Amino acid sequence: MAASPGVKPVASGAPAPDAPLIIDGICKSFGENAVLRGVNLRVARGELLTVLGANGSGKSTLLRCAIRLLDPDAGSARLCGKDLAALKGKELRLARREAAVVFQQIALVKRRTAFDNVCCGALGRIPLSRSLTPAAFPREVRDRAAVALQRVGLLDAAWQRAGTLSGGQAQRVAIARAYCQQASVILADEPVSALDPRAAEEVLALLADLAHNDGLAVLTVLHQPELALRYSDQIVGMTRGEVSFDKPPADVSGEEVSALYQHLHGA
Amino acid sequence: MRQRPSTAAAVDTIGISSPPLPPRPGGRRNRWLWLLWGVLLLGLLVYSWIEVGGSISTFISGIFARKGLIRDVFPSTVPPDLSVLWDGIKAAMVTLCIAILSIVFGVVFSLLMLPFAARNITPNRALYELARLIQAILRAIPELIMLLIFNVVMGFSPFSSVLALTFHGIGVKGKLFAEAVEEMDTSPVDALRVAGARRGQIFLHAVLPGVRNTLLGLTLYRLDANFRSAVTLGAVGGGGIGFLIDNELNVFQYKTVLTYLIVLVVFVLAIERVSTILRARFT
Repeated sequence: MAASPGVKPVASGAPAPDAPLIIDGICKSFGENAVLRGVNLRVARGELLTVLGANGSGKSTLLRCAIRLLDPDAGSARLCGKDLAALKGKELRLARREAAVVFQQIALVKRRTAFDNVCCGALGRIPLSRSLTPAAFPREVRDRAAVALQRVGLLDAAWQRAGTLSGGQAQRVAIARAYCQQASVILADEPVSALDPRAAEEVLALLADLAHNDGLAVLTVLHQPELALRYSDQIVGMTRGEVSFDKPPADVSGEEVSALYQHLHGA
Repeated sequence: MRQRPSTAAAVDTIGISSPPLPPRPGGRRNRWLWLLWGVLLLGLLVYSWIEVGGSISTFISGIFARKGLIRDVFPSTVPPDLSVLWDGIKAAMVTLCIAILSIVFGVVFSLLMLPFAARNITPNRALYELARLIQAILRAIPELIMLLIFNVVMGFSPFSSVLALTFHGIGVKGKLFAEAVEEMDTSPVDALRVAGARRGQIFLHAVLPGVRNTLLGLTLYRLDANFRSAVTLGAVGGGGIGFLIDNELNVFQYKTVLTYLIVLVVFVLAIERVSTILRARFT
């Protein structure tokens, strides 16, 4: 509905095959509380972009608005050239397939095997008749799921129930599910917050690898500045719903990072 | 000033000075409110006792008097008439069949309503309210009344019991199932939704596997409830062992009644046991 006029030059001028996710002027309030105040950012193919910020700075809201799990009040999120805010129903469902989300809570079905969970990433492109049970999934999907599991180094765990995997393994299976979805963009919402340091390293290394070797655009929200600085290609700092900096990690100073976290508590 | 004595007292009890607590909100007014509730509850109890004609002497004489349960009825029940044992078992099997059929039908219809009846996955608010309304109505009409209605239109038979238990059960299980879904971790639902999965696919691959065990447990729990209900329904023409017990009581055949009661207790305990074991295995 509220197609922001600021989007047009981007869409017509450069169809942006290199930036599958463009967030433009997104605002979102919950009641009186303005959580996002006009956020812009773009994630390019082959890039791992990390959003840093204190609790309540709007990081997770931004990510949810980007995929329209929340409806932004203003601004747009363009996913592979399509403005999600303008779509609904089937069109929205189909457009969304270009983005896969990795959640902090890992979000696997615990009783199902890792393999079945990974297959489910492809549900968006298989008809209901071929997806009544995991046994009915098409050959292509099963092959793709095996590739995905191998990609995250967990092929051997294929037949383990997701609930029996360690936190780090489970999150890698969730990433395999995202890979199986064959999306252009991966959005990760605090993917390592529930993990121990070593598992967190593995998961971030994997996300960086998917960006650099598979050409995916990866946006991740993190609470670990030191991990972010080591693995990201671009860092976006957020304070009180606004972008305070957006630059490569080499240019980010320690003061800038600590300012992110002091700001809120000082207020 | 008023904090002084309490601080001093605290030094005595725990050996260090305790900080004065901020004043408790409500205070005295709360206490009056509690008293009011207590009086109201007591009044309700007295009213109920009078309304049902409660009488301690009636109870004592019913149990202990010469024509009462212990001195008259119990002695005339022993020894149980074991010649009707097989009839009792066959009738209990009928009751069990009623319980099983009504559970299965009830589960099927509850599952069909589930995608609409759970607030967190329903496609729209109106369908949710409709599903919950249907369930509330079915739940509000007791099985017994449903059976009486089915008896009128279809005659006395165990099948009428199945229908009565099925419809009432949709009301009960439908609500329990929906609440299980509303309490589940919905992050897998979000994950599949953003992967572009259809509603049906999300239901089959995230919702159902997520709550499967809870639903199984609830179903097994309802199985022994349904069996006991089916016994009761039998007494009003629904067939099975309840029907036999009612018949024999009417003609004062207490020895036969005792045999049926033994069969009944064994069946109920066995079903409870099996359902407990299965529930433990599934959760």
